[in-house]
Order: sequence, then C-alpha cells, then structure tokens
Amino acid sequence: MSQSELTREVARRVFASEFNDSTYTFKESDDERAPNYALLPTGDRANRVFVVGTLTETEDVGDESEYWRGRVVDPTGTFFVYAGQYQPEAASVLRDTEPPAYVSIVGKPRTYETDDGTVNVSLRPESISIVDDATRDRWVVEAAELTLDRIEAFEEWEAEQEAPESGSTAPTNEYAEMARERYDSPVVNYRNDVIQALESLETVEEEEQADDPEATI
Amino acid sequence: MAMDALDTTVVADEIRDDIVGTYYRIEGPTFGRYVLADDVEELDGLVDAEELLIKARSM
Repeated sequence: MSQSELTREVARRVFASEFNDSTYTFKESDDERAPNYALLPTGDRANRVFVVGTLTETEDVGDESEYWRGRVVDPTGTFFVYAGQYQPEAASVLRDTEPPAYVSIVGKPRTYETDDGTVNVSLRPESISIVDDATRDRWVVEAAELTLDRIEAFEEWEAEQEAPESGSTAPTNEYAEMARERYDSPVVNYRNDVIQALESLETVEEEEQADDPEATI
Repeated sequence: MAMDALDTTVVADEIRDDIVGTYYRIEGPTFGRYVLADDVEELDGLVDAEELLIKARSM
C-alpha cells in the first residue's frame, strides 16, 4: 500500500444535495482494507466527509439493538445519518440530543440499494458534536467555496475535452471523467445549490437586522 | 495524563469532544503532517458570504 493511502485524507465538504447524488462507490485497490470511496458528481472521491446542519429528528429504528437514525438538514437538502452499536459515541449523541440542534458530523458515506433499485446514500458518523449557528454558517461558506473549486476544476477539464487543440493546460481530472461517465446530473445544478445555500445565509442576516431596530438606523 | 496511562491516545480522547467540529486558526511550525500549535484561536465571528456569492453567480 502506498504512503498516500496510509495517510488519513482530508474530509470533503459537501452539501446534502450533492452527497445524496453520490450513488457510485468504488475502491482503488484489491486490498481488503483499501478505502471505499463515494464518487462526488462534481468530480472528486470522498472517503470521509465533514458536514454541519440542523438535526431535526432522531429515531431508534433498530430491532434488537439500538440503531439511531438522524435527519440533518442543510440549505440544500437532508443528510440521513445512521449510528448503531459500532458507532457508540455517535449513537449516544443521537440518543441524548433533543432536536432541533446544530450538529457537526465527521463520517463516511454509505450506499444501499432499495427493493425498487434506487440507491440511497447515507452517512455513518464517526463523531457528532453540538455546535452553534456561527459554526453552521462558517461551514456553509466553506462547503460553498470547496464545491465551487471542484466545479471549476470540472469545467476546466470539460472545456479541455471539447477543444483539445486550444492548447489549454488544464490538468487531467480522473474523477471528473468518472463522474461524467457515471452520472447524468450536470454540475451546474450544484453551482445553483451553492448559490441557494449562500443566499439562505444572506436572508437570515437581513431578517436579523430587520428584527433589530438599531440596525436599521 | 499520557504518562500516567502510558498511552498518548487518552489525551486525544479527552480533548476530542471539546474540539472536533469547530473551526480554529492554528499557528505554529509543521512537523510532518502535524502542526505544533503555538497559538490557537477559535473562529466564531460572522463570515462574509457576499464575495463567494458574486463568484458563484458569475461562473
């Protein structure tokens, strides 16, 4: 195994809409301990993600042992978070937290296929922390920035494919190529989600100012 | 604490709940893939989304 595989990767910042579209998973080596990756439609691989949102609902959906499901909402959609006996710390946070609450989660993408053949993406948390609204806003901005970076790299690569004679120096983008093969959803959708997410922050700020008579003077 | 337990992971266990999932600005020398934190500041102020919004709309 190469050094890069042994080193823990930086968790991807990804909005719920893109996360839930990341239905294709793959490994890059035959080693049984090789990491599992979800393919992000904006052209990156994600072995681990970092998300912040509002925990709106928790439910123990387990039969014999506890298996907690949490819904975590960001400006673009809902993350479905599942924690059981093998994630005891995350499960206890879901058990003990009274929604609604802002939470930040580090975890791994997992996919499962339903009876009708739909692939659902869920999040298996490694850690869940209760955070404040400032942290949530900061995450929205960071996730927006990193999503735009992925979209930019994707579009540069795409332009290079369409006009190879232009002599562009855009780097090869293995995961953009994979995403275009595997997914139908155009990346512009995720740009629109970024805009929507950032606008939701602006609206909140305006409302807060409107509530505060001092701010309007 | 790590000396008492003869194990450095107890320190990580102790501070994990306090620090994971929060934004910080860390300053200090790097050591391999680690930063030896001389100065740690929690980032809890407002963030400005305006500039990023302009960029996103122009893409």
